Amino acid sequence: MRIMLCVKQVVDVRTPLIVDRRTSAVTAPGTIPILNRSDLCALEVAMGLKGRTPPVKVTALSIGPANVDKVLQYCIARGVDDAWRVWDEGIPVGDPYIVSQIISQAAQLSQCSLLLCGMMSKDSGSAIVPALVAKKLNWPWVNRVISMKLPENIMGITALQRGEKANRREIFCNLPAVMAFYPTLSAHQYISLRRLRSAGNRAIQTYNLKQLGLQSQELNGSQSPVKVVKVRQPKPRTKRSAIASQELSGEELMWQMISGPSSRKDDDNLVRGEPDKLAERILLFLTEKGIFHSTKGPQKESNKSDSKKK
Amino acid sequence: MVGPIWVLVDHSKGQITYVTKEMVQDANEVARSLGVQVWAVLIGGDESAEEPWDEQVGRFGADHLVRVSAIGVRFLTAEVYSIILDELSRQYEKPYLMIIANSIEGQEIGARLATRWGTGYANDCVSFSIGLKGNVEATRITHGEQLETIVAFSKGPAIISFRPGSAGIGLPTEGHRAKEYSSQIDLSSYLCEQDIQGIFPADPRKIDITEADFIVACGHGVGTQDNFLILQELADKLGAAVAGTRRANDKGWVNIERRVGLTGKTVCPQLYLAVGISGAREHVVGMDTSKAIVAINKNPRAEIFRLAHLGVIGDSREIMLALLRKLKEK
Repeated sequence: MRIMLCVKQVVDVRTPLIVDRRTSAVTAPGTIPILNRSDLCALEVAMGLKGRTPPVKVTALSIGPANVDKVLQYCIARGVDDAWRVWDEGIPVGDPYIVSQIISQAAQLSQCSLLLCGMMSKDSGSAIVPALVAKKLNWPWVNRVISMKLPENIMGITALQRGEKANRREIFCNLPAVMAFYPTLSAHQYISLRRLRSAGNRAIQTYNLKQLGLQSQELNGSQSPVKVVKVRQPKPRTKRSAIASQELSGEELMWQMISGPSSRKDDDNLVRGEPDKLAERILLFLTEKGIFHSTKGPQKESNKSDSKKK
Repeated sequence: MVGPIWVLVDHSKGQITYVTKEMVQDANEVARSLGVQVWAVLIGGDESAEEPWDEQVGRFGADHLVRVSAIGVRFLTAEVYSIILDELSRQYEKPYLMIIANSIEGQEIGARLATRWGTGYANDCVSFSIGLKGNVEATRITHGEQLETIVAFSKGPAIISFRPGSAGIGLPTEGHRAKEYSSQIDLSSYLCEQDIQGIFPADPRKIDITEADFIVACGHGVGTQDNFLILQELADKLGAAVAGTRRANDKGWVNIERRVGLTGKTVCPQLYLAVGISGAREHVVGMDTSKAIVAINKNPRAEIFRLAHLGVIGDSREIMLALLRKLKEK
């Protein structure tokens, strides 16, 4: 079984960023570009699938000039079998439509049956590339994957998806498929410096558009219908606010101004007394709000209401 | 001639959510400038609503409401939502602009719909307008919220996902109701890509506090590590996630990922139970949008009581122990 893992090199958004006013290019001077966090989660899951039978072969793919090799070498050090880099002068790597076309073409060339990627990049965050790749390949797509299991017969795949309000869904879908990973908190494993250095000596296969069977004109014709006009530092935005109530006194209005959207609550909301009585009052409040149910477990009940949400 | 503006209604427990009100009001402003109408699309919403749905969306500027009930599907997933919206676009006039709440599910709905309609999608937008050429322009938050990107759609319909809390809500128009239509969509003939085998609740001890529906937060007033363990037990019993103030973090009771406030995370749970929290402004900014707040503090003049929907004055340890006893009884 062959897996294609799509990785993207992004600027470290935790550091100060500089925008080129002419080209809208974003840079972080003095910092090293990093592997996109959700792609890192995909990498770890792909590594978890290695070593099983039948054997799984993982190919890492990235699009960009030679400096992208750093993230591919990281993937090799982590254990991927080979790495591909696609580059041709003038490829607009910021255009999700063109990127998805290249990825789908590379996936077809590699004859993979599973394509793993992050659900969105930390920089541009268009969140549409996995959907477009799946559409082009005519494969099913599962978004927000946290983990996955490959059954013995490899007819399909079971993925654990993150849902609304942190619930989890177990989804089965047939192979071939596209899995887009959600960036979880604990993702990457430590890689020794020795492994990183030896990965630096491994050759990375480089492809241009012609080798992939793509034409520049063909790509230009499939550009994104969403064009970037400008990238800039955020400007303050005005928010609507409801007009203050005429019934409030001057003091109450002053308190509203001090404490933001909140206002002083009536003294009825304050309760004193014996701890048992107070506990009873809190439980009553939780029951009123639908959080606590005395007959059923509160946890199950709250999640039940979440699943009803949509 | 441009089409209407569609807003996908995000709702919970029979009420439209805050972001829906924002989306409808913003859509109304743009629709007035274009001379088009706002259509709210409500999928599901079978639960009993305190207020009629047409009134809820109409008050914020929706002209029409389409209530959709889907038959032949077990779960309303993003895939199902996109199929329904695609079907609706054949029954009604296709929109010029489609607005979806930027929730975790909403992002996927937007992306799936864009591939179905063969159009563009702008993720995580904080505002949108009509450009000089009549095309939709949207401002997106990108690069880890450090930058904003202005994008323009060259092709319609434009699909955007709208970030909650970015526009605010103005005064609603009382008495205005949207014209209601009903639509039933049979999806039994559709072959869904995904087969959902089960939905499981998340472990409150492990989830990110920004995702939690119910948070028990501890402050300096909890006093000791032993008391914190009681609080942890209480949270487990209630199925809540534990969070804390900066001082609770300094004491090592909660880690930095569970810190709420100016130097921590901003949360908006359904219920926030604040134990031993005074209500310093630095903490309150991270939780003041919680739907319901219960505060336990021994100081009756604590600032947290200004926010609390229920303020309990007393010793936090004694009250937590009493709560645990009551929970064990039930």
